[in-house]
Amino acid sequence: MPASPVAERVRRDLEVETLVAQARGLGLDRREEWLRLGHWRKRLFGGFQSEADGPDFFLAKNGKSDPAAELEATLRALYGQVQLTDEQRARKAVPPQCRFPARAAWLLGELRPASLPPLDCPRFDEYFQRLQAESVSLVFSSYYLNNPASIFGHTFLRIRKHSEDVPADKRELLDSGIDFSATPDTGNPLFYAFKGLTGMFPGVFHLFPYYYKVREYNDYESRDVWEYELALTPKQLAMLEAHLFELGSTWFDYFYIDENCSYQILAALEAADPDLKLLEHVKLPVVPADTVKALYRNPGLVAGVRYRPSARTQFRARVEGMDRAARNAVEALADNPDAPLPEAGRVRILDAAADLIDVRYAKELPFQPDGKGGTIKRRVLERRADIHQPSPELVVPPPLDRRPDFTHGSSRAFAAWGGSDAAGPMVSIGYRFALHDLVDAPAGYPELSQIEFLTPELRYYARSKSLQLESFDLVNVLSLQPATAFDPALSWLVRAGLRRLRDGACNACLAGAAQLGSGFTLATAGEALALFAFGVAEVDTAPSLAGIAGAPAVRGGVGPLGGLRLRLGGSLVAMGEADWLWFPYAIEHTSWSVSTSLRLSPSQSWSVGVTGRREPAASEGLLQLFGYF
Amino acid sequence: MRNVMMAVSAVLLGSAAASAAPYGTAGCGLGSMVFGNQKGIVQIFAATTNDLFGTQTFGITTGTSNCADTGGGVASTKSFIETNREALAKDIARGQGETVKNLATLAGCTDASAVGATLQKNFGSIFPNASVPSDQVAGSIISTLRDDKALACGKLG
Repeated sequence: MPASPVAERVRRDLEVETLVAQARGLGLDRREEWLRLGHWRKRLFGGFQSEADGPDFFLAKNGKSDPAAELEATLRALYGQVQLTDEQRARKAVPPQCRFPARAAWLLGELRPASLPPLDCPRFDEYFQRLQAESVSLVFSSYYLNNPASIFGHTFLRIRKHSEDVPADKRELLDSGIDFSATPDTGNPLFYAFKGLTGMFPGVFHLFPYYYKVREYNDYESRDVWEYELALTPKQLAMLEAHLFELGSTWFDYFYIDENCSYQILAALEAADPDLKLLEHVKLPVVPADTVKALYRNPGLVAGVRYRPSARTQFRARVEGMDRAARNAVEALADNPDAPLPEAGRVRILDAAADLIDVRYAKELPFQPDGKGGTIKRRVLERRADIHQPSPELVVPPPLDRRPDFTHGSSRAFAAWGGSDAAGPMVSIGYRFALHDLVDAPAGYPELSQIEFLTPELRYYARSKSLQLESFDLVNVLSLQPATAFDPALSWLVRAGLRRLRDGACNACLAGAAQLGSGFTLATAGEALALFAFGVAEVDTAPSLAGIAGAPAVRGGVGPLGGLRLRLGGSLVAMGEADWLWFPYAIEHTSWSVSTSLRLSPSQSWSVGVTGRREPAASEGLLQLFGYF
Repeated sequence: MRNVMMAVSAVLLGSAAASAAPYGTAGCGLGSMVFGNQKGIVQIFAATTNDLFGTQTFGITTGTSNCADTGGGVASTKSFIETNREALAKDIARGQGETVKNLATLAGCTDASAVGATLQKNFGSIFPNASVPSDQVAGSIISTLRDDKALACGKLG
């Protein structure tokens, strides 16, 4: 029945009051669905705080800490009672009525008002139409070479587009990608690290064609990509899409250790349905692989897993099984594109050479298509195109032992029993914040990369009845890159922390020690056996250290370090390492150590091992038990 | 709820919107989108914050930028070619591949293998030298596809 605009306005306002009261009566502001939509988390001493930091996410003045006030403001906005400020209008903020489609969908579904407010939301409609969502996958991009920090991985979402007439394999790249990433405002490494750890970069959700991510991860960074297809109902999918639109109006302070990319992706997914239990299965530190494992804690959520090989993996697959002559031809082409080709197998050789050039010049090609790599590549491709035959499809079977959800837990605790000749029997306990060493269970991690943060070890010596800190590494990174005919890569190590020196320079004193090294690694084809040789430099400091003559508490030295790692099967790893250091000007001139470890990992949650170490002033051996969580 | 969800179902059943973006899209290639020039140790941290390419330009509520259109037609084909140039060059030389298939979809061609074969034969005119700019590459590819009537690339106009 037509009514005058004034009467209509009055009716609307009355409607809102009714709905607000109804919502209060139903306690909707305390419901899990509402709290997830606002990213409110319970505070330690009561109350709530939303993780969203951009002010546009809250319509109520105190919305960040008051879910009830925010709910009321959202209802009022839906019925036209909240307007854009001039400042918001100037930067084209989404109008309050249209900014929260997921909140609107849920609230109106719970309250079921007699009539709906008129909602004309062209930006949301355009966004929804652009997505044309059929399903969503959580995508994990894996580590890349010579960057152990990348073994933490990265996750984002892929929204598959619906299409009646085009088969999936012909439109995969055209799907949408949604990720959460920080917007750094500095290139200075120290500021970058500090700000990233303390939440001083804003993180924002982005939407872009999926092919950007394929090119960035598979090609530019040469990372393998794993896609976990999620079985969401149409309603859950629609709620997810609507919520992602809401997240587009805000930012979240980015913290490496907890509120990082993979955390925010899970938080966004959780808003799709209260039955999804994701964040409760991750702990500090939030490691992307753990967020993938959280998916599996919801039975039936993962519908399938797909694998997309990196450029490097594709290259390796192409040269697999090639004879010596063909490999030489591939290597020659990558330097001289006019190199002669053997009669047979030209297509295969040219295809492999093109991949090798792409891998070798990955960082240069997007910026300089006419650089050295680009020029070589173009000529090789021209020779390939002259052969008017399509290449056979390259099939790379997914390496199941590299799946991120098969990794051992990101944190570790251990207990050990043993003794040393100098100090007698001992019990040792220790912890590791993150992530992986070269004798831990190998599945899911790069074969030869080690990265550890915060590893305290405490020991109790029975003879002296003393409890003491044995060591505390802040960081321990070892990146072994096997040198091959195609790539004479450099290996390197960084270690810094506290440990006891047992070489006569002091009486097993606790010293700050920092070590930097670089060298080469040789490995067998499957990387099961690796040998490495480094040159290292070390600086030690401790109050009682008999160090440099002029500055007794410090000493600095250099020397060789070498080792061997052998993996037997999928769960037994042995490693030996030896080093020798020369400390010029120091009172105790030299130091050395030899250590060996053997560890068996019957499952991803625990392992058992033995370790031994010899130094000038002591020898020790321990039997260890590890738990991963 | 119903109004919003009605928009949802209308969209799910409807077809992709025709692209209205102008032909002259500038700089969608990866090289033109990089954020700063992070080197060395910063790369280690960038591995975790993951903003090596300037995808901060792709806001969710800001609407379709020129580089984000995958609806099909000339403009989205051009953006695709610019960003996927290196992989596409390889696939064209090979006469097949994922980027060729997706290109065929954007251009509305009926047979991706025929597209692969045609582009492979024309590699020399598409990539005459290494310094050919990406928008020229896109132009050559699009006119090659248009000129071959047998390919029936309906979305290229």
